[in-house]
Amino acid sequence: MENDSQMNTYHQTPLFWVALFMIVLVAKGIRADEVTCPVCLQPFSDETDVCPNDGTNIKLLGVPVEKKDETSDKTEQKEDGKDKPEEGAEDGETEEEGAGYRRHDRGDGRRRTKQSGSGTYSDRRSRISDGRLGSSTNLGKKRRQEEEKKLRLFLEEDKRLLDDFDSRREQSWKERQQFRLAEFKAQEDRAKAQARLLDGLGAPLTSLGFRMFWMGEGRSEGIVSAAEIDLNLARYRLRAGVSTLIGIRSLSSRNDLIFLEHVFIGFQWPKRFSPYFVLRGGVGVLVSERFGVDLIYLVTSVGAEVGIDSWVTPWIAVTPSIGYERYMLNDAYWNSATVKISVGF
Amino acid sequence: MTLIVLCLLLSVLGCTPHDGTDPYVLWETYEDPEFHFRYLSPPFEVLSEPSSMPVLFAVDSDEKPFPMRGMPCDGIGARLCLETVVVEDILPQDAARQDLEDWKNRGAQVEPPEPFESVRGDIGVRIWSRSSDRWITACYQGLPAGDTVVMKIVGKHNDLDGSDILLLLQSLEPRPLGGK
Repeated sequence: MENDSQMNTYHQTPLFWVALFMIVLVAKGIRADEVTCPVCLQPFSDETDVCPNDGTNIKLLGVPVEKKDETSDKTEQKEDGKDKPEEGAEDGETEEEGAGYRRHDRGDGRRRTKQSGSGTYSDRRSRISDGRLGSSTNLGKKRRQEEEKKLRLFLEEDKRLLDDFDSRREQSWKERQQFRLAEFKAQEDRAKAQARLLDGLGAPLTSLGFRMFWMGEGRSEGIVSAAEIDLNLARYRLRAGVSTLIGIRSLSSRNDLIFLEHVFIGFQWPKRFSPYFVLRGGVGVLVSERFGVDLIYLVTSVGAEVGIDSWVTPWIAVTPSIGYERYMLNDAYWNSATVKISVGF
Repeated sequence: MTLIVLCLLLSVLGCTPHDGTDPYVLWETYEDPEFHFRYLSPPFEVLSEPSSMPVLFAVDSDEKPFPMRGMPCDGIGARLCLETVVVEDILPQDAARQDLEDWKNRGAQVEPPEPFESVRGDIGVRIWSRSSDRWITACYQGLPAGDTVVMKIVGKHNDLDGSDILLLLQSLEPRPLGGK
């Protein structure tokens, strides 16, 4: 029995050491508390996310540092029989490490790294070239890149603003154009409405005009220049009314004064340009100074007239007319053409 | 209705047979067997008896005196006085010269006789006289029998310068009305 238990013990001892060895290996594998930046090859804590030298994402790209176990190193050192650390070496430093690291404040040269795994020529070259990140040149390049980015953003914003301005300007022009078109159309509609309104107005209610006719004597033409006021009592298809005339008969030897009151009746075609025909009859007086004495003669007249009422606005009409009239005084007569221009309201 | 209006119109038109452009269209006619003339009445009013001499017309007269010899217009208080008389056995120039002498002797300013033509082309003589209170103008036309008809107008100075006075004087014709 004792032999069996002793045998079991002897069998279990190598298994124990194998397990321990495996555990140590696993511990080494998972014991990556330091990572190396793949660019500058500087070791950093595994808690560091971004390399401060070049901005490399260490979390993603960092190379875990294979750190030697101190106890095993010490054991190896003891096994090598080297109990005493070399002169100049720090605590915990191996002789080799102490020999490789030179403190700059003591005037020693130093090496940044002993890692030779990734220390190829091209890698070292990249670390000392202008393209390496973290140097002042790299900072300038980074600054330039930032400025270029700002400029690009500014230009994009500027283009966007210009495009926005152009689109708004075009929109504004379109709106103005539409407004002008609407105004023009409204004006056209107003003109049409006015034209429709003017149609059918007929004769104006009252008008003031200037009339000319002739009552000659001897070699003198005897032009009569007169002002006339009309009052139209019937104004649509039937035109009828009264008028009052006062004028001056100009002869070579004297001027006579004439007053006439007319009555007229006729027909009219009520339009914006409204033609009419009327018969006229009048009675009045002619005042003439003969042999130093003012003589008053009774004057009568009969005649006919045609004209056209032109409505320039809904409340103003211009009426030219022409006619024939026979003026009679005692047993004398004058056959005269008569012309008139008047403004009616 | 149209016919009535037309008739009225024609009647009105027919009542005025004279052309108004004739300067004497409104004047009356005085007829004498030897002469005739035109006058405007109004303003002239007849003062003399019919067929008596001198023939007197006046404008704005205050009275109607019986016609007298000499210069009846002198005694008439009128704005204008028209006197027409026939002087026998004398030529128009001689009659004019005689009246000029008479007026000159009375202190009036006179102007030499000037030829004067009537509306029918009869050549006569016209004279002027100006005094302090009146002017006189006279026209002399010769009659076929060797007599002279005289038309004298007396009035204020400014009244005698007008065209109406000229028409009046030009209307004197030494023949009866309708005569050649």
